[in-house]
Amino acid sequence: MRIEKGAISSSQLMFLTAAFVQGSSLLIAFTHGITKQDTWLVVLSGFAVMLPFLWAYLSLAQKFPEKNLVQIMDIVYGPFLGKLISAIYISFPLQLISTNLRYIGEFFLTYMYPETPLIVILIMFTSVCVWAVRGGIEVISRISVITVVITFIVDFVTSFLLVNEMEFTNFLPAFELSMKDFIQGTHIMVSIPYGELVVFLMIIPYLNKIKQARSSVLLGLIFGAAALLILTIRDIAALGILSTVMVSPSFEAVRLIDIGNIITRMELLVAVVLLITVFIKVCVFLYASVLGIAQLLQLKTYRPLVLPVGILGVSFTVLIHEHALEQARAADIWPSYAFLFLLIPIVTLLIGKIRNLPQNQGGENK
Amino acid sequence: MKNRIASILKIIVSLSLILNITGCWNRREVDELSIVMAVGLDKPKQNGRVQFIAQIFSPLGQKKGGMGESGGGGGGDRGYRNITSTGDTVSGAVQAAIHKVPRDIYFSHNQVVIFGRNIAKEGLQKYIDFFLREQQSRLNIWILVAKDRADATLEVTPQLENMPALDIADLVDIQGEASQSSVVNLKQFATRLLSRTTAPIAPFIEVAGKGDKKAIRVSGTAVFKKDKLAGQLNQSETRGLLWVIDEVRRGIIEVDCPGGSGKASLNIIHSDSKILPELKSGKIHMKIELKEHGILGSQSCPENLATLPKIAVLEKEKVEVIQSEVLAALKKARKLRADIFGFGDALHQKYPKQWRENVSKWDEVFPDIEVELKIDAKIRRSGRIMQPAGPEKEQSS
Repeated sequence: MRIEKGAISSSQLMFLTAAFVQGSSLLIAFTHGITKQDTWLVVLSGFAVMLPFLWAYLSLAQKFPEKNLVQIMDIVYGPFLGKLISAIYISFPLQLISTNLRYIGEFFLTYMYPETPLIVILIMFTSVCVWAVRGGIEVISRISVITVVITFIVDFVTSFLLVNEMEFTNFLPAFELSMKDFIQGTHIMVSIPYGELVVFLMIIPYLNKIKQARSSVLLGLIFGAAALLILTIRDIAALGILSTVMVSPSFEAVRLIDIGNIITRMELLVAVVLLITVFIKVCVFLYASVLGIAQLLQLKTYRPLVLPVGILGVSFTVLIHEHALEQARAADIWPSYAFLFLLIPIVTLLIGKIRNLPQNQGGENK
Repeated sequence: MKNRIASILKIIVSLSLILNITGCWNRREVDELSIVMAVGLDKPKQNGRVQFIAQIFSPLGQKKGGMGESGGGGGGDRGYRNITSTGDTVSGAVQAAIHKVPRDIYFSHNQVVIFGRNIAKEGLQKYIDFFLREQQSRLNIWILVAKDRADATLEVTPQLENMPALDIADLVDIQGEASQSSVVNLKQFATRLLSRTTAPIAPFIEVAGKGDKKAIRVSGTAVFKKDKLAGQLNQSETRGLLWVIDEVRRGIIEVDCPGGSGKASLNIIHSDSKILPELKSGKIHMKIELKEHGILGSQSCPENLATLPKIAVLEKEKVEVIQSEVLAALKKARKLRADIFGFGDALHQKYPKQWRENVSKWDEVFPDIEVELKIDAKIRRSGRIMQPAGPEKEQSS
């Protein structure tokens, strides 16, 4: 039984991964306050730490070809325990829908629509996500191609126009971090922007050529991390120490662009980029959640679930925090919590290895 | 049939969605806004309050001015209005202004913020917070300190523009031509406020002249310690500071003609400076490398200065002038114990460990830092003429 009928090509998977990682550009601000001018370093170290994790996830996906994570859990842990772990696991993308919606909502409220109720923005944003997810994985991955192209163009153009404002002494003194801050920063980078890639275990099975999964996800991650690195360097170079107190350094940095009073007020570009990349992110989380639930309950299709889960996500978003400061507080705890979910697939891989699994049941489940 | 109804429904939904994207929740049209062009903050007589002056664009006055009518009536057809209100905080004062302005106060186009002297002495941090936090405000607005009161500077009849705010903004913009007053925007000011050692600076603005001849004047530099106004630099001290922090753009250096009576003016074309911290047997030592080149702008003595030996003398004289300016600024900074040059940050960037040892007592450390100047000044060209337009002198001289 296969719930998702569509299939995506390896280049689409690459763009999807890149767009997904780019969607976290706002979240780097969490580490800015801790790692200051060395933030670029944790963007890189987080990337390096992520590589073995990603290798494990992809090994798992290739060990059980055409099986998504819920099916793999069933095979590895048996029907009962497998379902329990899957149910816990599906809560992860479900929560991420709400936290990401909250971030984008808070951003728009802070910078553009201070008096608009949060719920209005959320409903409008989520309706589009629901519509896209109902279209299936093919639709989401096709949008991601455009997203990545636009994002890279905006990143490069704004960085280029900001050269006037940049001062590279802002990066000095380099490596001033204490070990503790470095580990904390890396931990945040691994758990939030990069580690969320774990939900791709629900998507990789629908790749038409499973052999290419490894290279396309890796390339996507490299592109995404490169975009984050460009942004980080641009913001630190342009804003210096101010970037540590700003809610969104990217927005403030691009606000500084003023070339002859003509090319100016370009900050909306940042908002547009943020909007479309977070859109991809929320779509992926929503897709992973509904697909997981449908698989768990053995439904024929996930489509009827999309709208209810979307509505749940919006309601949860409004309830999750009283105000933006609580959200920042939660950012202290969240990485450690999210890290547990990054470990589950690795444990699954190990248990699968020990039980020598795919050979035993590979034939009958096809 | 069913298909057709579905597609008609889709079209209706799409069209109604288009209506939504024309505006946000609280759309505000231009004719409902009071566009603030300049903000002044002063200290009123009651203690603990702040007086807020907003210069607001007045469309009616603009129209009349554009028609070419001369403004005879005092204020009847000016292109702006000044609104004054008081409050315990800046936000409170802005709210108080709402009672006097018929339209929403809109800060996105604000060009300058002028702080009155009293308020600068009290400490700027609590007032500048508003401009950093407020959603419409931008980081590239100019920061100025009034020598006396801020409201007076916003009342002066503008010379070229319709509004004093634009006049002031233009005036700040061109200060680089003389490099005798610092030019500081909110980003630079806030960056210096965030630094643990560097002292913030801002240009001074004052009203010069009396009666009809009143005009605004920007010159000199206000020096802050933490966020409180501590002292000031005059024009040549300011240029001394700008040499070190690499903000000199253009200007004129006047030196005596070698071997003659009169002056030679040397135009600055380009300047580049570096602050290089060094540690010599544990003591902090700052080496300032300054490279400048310019042209011979004009001369008032009859001799031909555009000869190799004379140029060499002029270059030497120029180095001395630059050196004296930098040393004057340094002397003032040492006296105020205010690190306006950013020596602390330079040390932090190169020797973080020494910086951490000294940062808590930087006020005591800074005046004792030895400074070594290395100035390299060149004269590249002599302008359009090769020698002064006068009868040729005897070669013997």
